[in-house]
Amino acid sequence: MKKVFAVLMLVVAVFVFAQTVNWAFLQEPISLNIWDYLGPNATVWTGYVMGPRIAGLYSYSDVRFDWIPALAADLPDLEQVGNEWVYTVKLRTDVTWSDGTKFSADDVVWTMNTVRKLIVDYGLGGNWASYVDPDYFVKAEKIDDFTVKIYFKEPSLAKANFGTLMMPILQKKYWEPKVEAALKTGNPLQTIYNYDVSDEPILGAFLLKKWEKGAFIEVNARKDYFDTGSVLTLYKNGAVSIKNPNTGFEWSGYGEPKGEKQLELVTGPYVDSIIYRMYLNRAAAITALINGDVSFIFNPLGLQKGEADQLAKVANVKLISNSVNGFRYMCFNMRRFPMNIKEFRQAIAALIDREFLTSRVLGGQAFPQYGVVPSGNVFWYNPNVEKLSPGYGMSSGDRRKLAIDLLKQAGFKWVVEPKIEGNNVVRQGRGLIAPNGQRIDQIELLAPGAGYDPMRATIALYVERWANEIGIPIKANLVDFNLIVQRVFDEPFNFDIYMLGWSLGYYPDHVADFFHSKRAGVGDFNAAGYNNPEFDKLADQFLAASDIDKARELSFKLQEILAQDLPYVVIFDTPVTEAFRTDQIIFPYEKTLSGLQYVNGAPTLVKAAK
Amino acid sequence: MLRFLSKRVVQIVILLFIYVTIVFWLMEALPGSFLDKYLMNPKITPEIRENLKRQFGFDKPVLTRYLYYMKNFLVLDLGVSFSYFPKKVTSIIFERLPRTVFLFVTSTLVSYAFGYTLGKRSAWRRGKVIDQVTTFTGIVFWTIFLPLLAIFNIWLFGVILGILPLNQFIDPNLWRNVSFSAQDLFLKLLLNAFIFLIVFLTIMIISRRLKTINAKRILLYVSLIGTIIISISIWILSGRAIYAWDIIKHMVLPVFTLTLYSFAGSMLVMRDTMLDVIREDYITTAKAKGLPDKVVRDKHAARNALLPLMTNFVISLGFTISGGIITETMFSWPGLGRAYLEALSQQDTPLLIGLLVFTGVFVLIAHLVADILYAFLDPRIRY
Amino acid sequence: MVEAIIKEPLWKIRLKLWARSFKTGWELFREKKLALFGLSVIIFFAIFGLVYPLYPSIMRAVFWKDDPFGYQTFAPYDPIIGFDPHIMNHPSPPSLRHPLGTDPLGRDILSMIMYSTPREFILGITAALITVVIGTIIGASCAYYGGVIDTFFMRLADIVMLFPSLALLMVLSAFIDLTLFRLALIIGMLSGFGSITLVLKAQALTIKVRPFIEAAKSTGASDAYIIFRHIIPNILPLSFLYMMLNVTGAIFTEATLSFLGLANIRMSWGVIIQMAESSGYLMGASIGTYWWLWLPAGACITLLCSAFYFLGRGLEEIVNPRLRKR
Repeated sequence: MKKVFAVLMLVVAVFVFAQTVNWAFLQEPISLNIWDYLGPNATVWTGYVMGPRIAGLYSYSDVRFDWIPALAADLPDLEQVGNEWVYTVKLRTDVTWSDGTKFSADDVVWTMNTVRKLIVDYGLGGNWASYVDPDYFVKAEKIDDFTVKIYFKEPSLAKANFGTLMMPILQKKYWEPKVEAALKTGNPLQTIYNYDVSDEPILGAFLLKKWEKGAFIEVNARKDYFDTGSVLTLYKNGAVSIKNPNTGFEWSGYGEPKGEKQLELVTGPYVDSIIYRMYLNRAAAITALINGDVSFIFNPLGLQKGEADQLAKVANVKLISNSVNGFRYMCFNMRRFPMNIKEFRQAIAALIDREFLTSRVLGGQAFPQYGVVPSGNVFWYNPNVEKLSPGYGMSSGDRRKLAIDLLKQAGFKWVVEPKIEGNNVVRQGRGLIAPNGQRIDQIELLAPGAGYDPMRATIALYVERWANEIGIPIKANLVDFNLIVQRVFDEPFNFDIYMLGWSLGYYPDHVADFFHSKRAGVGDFNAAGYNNPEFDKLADQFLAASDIDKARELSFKLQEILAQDLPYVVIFDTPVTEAFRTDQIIFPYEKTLSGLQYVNGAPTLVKAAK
Repeated sequence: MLRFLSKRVVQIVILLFIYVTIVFWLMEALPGSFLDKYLMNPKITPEIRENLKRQFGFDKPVLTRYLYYMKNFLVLDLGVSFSYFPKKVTSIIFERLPRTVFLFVTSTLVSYAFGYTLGKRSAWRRGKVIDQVTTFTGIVFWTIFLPLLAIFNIWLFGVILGILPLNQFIDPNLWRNVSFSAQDLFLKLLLNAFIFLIVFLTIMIISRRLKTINAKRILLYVSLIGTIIISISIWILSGRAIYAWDIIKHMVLPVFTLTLYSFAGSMLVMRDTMLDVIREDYITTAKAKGLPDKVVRDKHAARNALLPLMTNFVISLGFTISGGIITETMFSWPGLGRAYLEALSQQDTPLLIGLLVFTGVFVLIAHLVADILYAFLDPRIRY
Repeated sequence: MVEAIIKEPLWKIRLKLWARSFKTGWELFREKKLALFGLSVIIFFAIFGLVYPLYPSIMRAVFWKDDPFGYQTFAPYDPIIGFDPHIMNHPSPPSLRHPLGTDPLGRDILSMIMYSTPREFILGITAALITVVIGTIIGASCAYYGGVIDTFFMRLADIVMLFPSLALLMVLSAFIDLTLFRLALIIGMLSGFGSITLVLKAQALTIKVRPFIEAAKSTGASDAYIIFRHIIPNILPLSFLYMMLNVTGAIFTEATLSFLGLANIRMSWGVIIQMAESSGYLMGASIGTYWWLWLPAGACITLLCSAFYFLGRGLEEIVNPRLRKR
C-alpha cells in the first residue's frame, strides 16, 4: 500500500511542478531511428517527434522561411576550384550534444560522407536522397574543428543550399562504431535501421523519455540545448538576426538589421515535457481536446468542416486557419489524343469554375489555386498566373462559350453543336469530332473515390457534367487511390486524365520534376508527358541557379509557361485548420504556411498558459 | 479419440498450407505496392525506388518469394513488415495480440454470459412478453450499425455522463513515470485470467467427486472467491493494482458496446437449443416429478443446451481480427484489427499476409478445441 | 406432412399442396407479431423506394416554380451531385424544402435515402439469392453424390470459412472496383461456398435417406432429375430462410465497407453515414445537433435489416418443425 501511495504522490508532484503539454496524434510514429525515418519509413508522424531531436547546418526561419544558419555560424562562401564548386561553412562553437560532447566539424564531415557512401555503395534510399544527390555532392572535408568545405560538381540552390546543407547532422562518436559494425553484417542497411536509438545523443531540444507503445510518447526538454535563450528577429526590410546572449553568438544577414521588426522570437524550450498521445480516430482526438486532455491536435489534413463548427463553440478552444503548400490538380496524358491538343486542355480548364466549386459546392472549405506554385508560398508564387488561366473571372455562360470557341479554333466539330444563351445551355453538344475527322468516344477521368477525398470526387463529377454539356464525352471514374497510381505509374501512363494532389516543399524545384522532358520516363514524375524544349532550357537554368533572385525570376517564367500550356489544371486546395486550447498553451505565432504542425507545433517556442 | 485427433491435425495442416498459398497470391495480386507512397515525393527518382525495391526484396520473381515465404512459414517466421521496416511481422503481432485478446475474450465472455441468461429465460417463457421483448431488443441492437453505436456510447458515457474514461487504453498521466510497460501488465492480466480458468476447471473436476450439492456449492464459491481475493491482493501488494485497474476502467466502454451489439447472437442460439431440449423426455419427466420450475430450467434444460453455445463461443473467438477492425478504431485500442486496417491502407503486404495467416491458424486451433470440447462434453459423441 | 405425398408426380397436386402449406404457413405466420412487423417494414421500404422518382418532381412543382433555371443547373434533389443554392449554410436542418435537411455538400438527405433504398434491396436480395442458389445446388449435390464432389466442396467451404469475410472484402476492394453488383456477387459467393453449404448439405442428407428417393432411383430417374425435383424442393424452405437472414448480412457488409471508404458506390445508406463521419459531424455534441446526417440513414439500416431478420425468424419457426409450439 505504501508503494502505491508513494507512486501516487510522485504522480501528483510531477503534475503540480512540471509544465507538461499534451498533444494528440492520429497515428503512432514508427521508429526514432533516423536512418529508418529518412530511409524507408518516412511518415509525417515520426517526423513530428523527430523534428525537435535533430538539427542541420542551416534551417528555415519561423513564419517567413528565410534560409538561416542553425549549426553554421554564417552563410556559406561559394567559390570555384578547378571544375568543382566549394561551399565553405563556418560552424558554431557553442553547440553541445545531449551527452555533453562538443559538436564539431568531425560530425558534419562524417555524416555527409557516410550518407553518400551508403547511398552509392549500399543503396540507402528514401528521403536521404533529397539531402545528398551523388550526382552533385562530391565530399565534405574538415579544415579545422569548426570549418568544413563541401564539394559539389555544380552549384545548385536545390541540391546544395536546400539539400545537403540542411541535412541532419549525426554524432560521429555514437554512430561511427555502429555503422562500421553494421557494414560487416550480411544486411548492413537493415542492421542500421534496426538499432535501438533510445540512448542516441541529439542536438535538438527534446530527448525521448518514455515510449509506451500504442499509447503515448513522452519527451523531456534538454537543459543544455544550444539555442536556448537566443533571439531570432525578422525585420520588415528582409533582414534577419540571431543573438544568443547566453553564449554570445551573433549573426545577421539579408540586409541591415534595423527598422521595423516583423517578428521577434526567444527560443525556449519553455515546457519541461511533451506527451504525444495516440488516438486512432479523429473523433477521439477532438473529444480529448474538448475535454482538455490534450491541447493541440496534429492532423496533416486539418480539421474538417463539422469538426471546426463544433470546436468553434467550445470555450477556450481557438481555431486557426492557414493556407497550405500544395494543390489538387487534374493531369492530362499528353501522349494521347486529344489531350495533346493545347486548345482542348484550355477548353476544359475554361469550363472549370474554381470559385464556384470552392465557395459554393465545397462551402468555403477550399480555396482556388491557379498555378503550379501554391499561392501560400508567397516568395515563389507568381501572381500573374491567375489572369493567364483560361476563363478567369468569367460567368458560367462565357466560360462555356470560350471553351466552345477554343475547340472550334483547334478544328473540333460536333454532330450536334452545343448552344449557349446567357448562362443557359440551350442545347447540349453531342458527338465531338476531332480535327482529323475522328469521332471522340469517351475520355476517362480517374479520380479518387469519396472515401479517400470527397472533395476531389465531387469536383470530378462536376467536371464530367460541365464537359458533357458542351459535348466533351468525359466520364468520371471514381476509383481507389492505388488503382490510379497503378494506372499512371506502373502500367504505365494508361490514363486519359487523372486527378490527384501534391504536397510540396518550400523551394519550388518540383516544377522541374513534374514537367521536364527528361523526367517523362516510366515511373517518373512527368506523368503528363509534357515536352517543351523552351521550358526544359529555362528549368535547367533554374536548377543550376545559385542566386535566389535569379532563381525567382526563372521560376516566374516557368509558372507562366505552364499556366498557358496546361499539362496540369491546378484546381484547388484546402486550408489547414487547427485548434488548440488557449487555457493550456500559448503559441508564439499562429499564421504560418501549412499550419503549426508543419513546424512540429513549435516545441521550443510554445509556452504553457498560466 | 486419438485417431480422430491425428486425422484432424493432418487435415488442419493441409488446409493451412492451401490457405497460406491463397493468401500469399491474393496479396501479390494487389495493385500498386508499398513503395507507391514514394510517388508522392518527386525527390525520390525511379532509381531510388528501384533501390528500395531491392531492399524490400521485390526484385526477386514472385515464385521465388513464395517458396521463400513457405520455407519461413514452416519455422513460424512471417517475414519483415514494410511499414515498420525492418521489424518482424511476428513481433508486431505479438505486440498487439495481448491487447486484442484481452479485450475480445472479455467482451465475448460477457456477451455470452448475458446471452445465455436471457436465452434460457426467453425459451422457457416462450411467446410471453419477456421472450418478445428480449428478441426484439436483441435483434434491434444486433442490426444497429456498429460505428454509430460506438460513437453514441462514447458520447453518452464519456462526454455527457463523464463516468467512463474516453478512448485510449491507458491514462498517460498515470503511466508516464512507471518503469514497466503496459504490455507487461497485459501479459500479467492474461496470466491471472488463465490461472483463474485452471482453478475453475480443477474445482469442477474435484466437485464431481463430492456427494452433496451443498458441499459442491461451498467448495465452488469458497475457492472461486478465494482465488479472486488472492489475485487482487497480489496485485495490490505488487503496487500495480492501480495500473491494472486503469486498463480495466478503459475497457468497460468497448466491452459494454460490444456486448450490447452482439448478445443477440448467443441469446438466439441458446433460445433455439433450449426449445429443442425442452421437448426431450427427461425434461417432461423432471417436470412431472414436481421439481420446481427454476430447477428444471437451470439444472436440466439449460445445462444440456449449453453445448452448442460453448462450441459457438470457441469458434467466435477466432474472428477477433474482423471484429476488431471497427471496434479498435472507434475506441483507440491499437490491436490486431487496427493493424490490419493500417497495413491495408499502406499496402504493407507482409503484415497483411501475416495477420491473415495468423487468424487462420487461430481459427483452425479454435475449431480443433471445439471438436475436442464436443467430444469431452457430449456423451453421445464417440470417436 | 408435405413430403409424404410429394411422390405423386402430378404438378397440379403439387401446386395444390403448395397452396395448402402456404395457407397453413400463413396462419402460423400471422401469429408471429414480430414477423408481421418485419414484413410490413419491408413492404413499406419497397414502396418508399419505388416512389422515389416522384419526389423531385413534387418538390420542383412546389418550391422551384419561380426558378426553373436554378433547378436545372443545380439539380437540388439529385442524390449525388445535387446542391441547393438558396440555402447559405450546408448542412441545413430539416425544412419544408428538405424534409430531412441537407448534407455538408448541399444534397437533399431524403432524396439520398430514397434513391438508395431500391439499391439496398437489390444488393441484399442479389447477394442472398446467389448465396442460396450456390448453397442449395452444392449442398444437394454433395449430399446426393458424396465421394469426391462432397470432399472437394466441403474442403472448399473450410477454406472459405477461414477467411474473415470483412477483412477479405477489404482486400478485394483494392483490386476489384466494388460496384454494387460486384459487391453483391462476391458477398453472395463467399457465404454460398461457405457456411450455408454445410447447413443445407446436412438438411439434404436427411432427405436423401427418405424412401421416395430410392423409389425415384428405381424408376430410372436421372441424378439431375432427382436432385432438382426431389431433393432441392425439400430443402428449399430452409434455403429461403437463410436467404432472409443473408439479406441483412449483405446490407451490413456494404454499410461497413462504405463507412471505411472502401467500396466504389456513389450512394448508399452507408455512404451517407460515411459522409457525416468524414466531414466531422459524427462526434461529440454534433451527434445531437446534426442528427439528420446520421440518424435517418442509420435507422433505415437497422429497420430494414431487423425487418428481414424478424421475417426470417418467423419463417424459421414455420419451416423448422423442431421450433414449432406443440
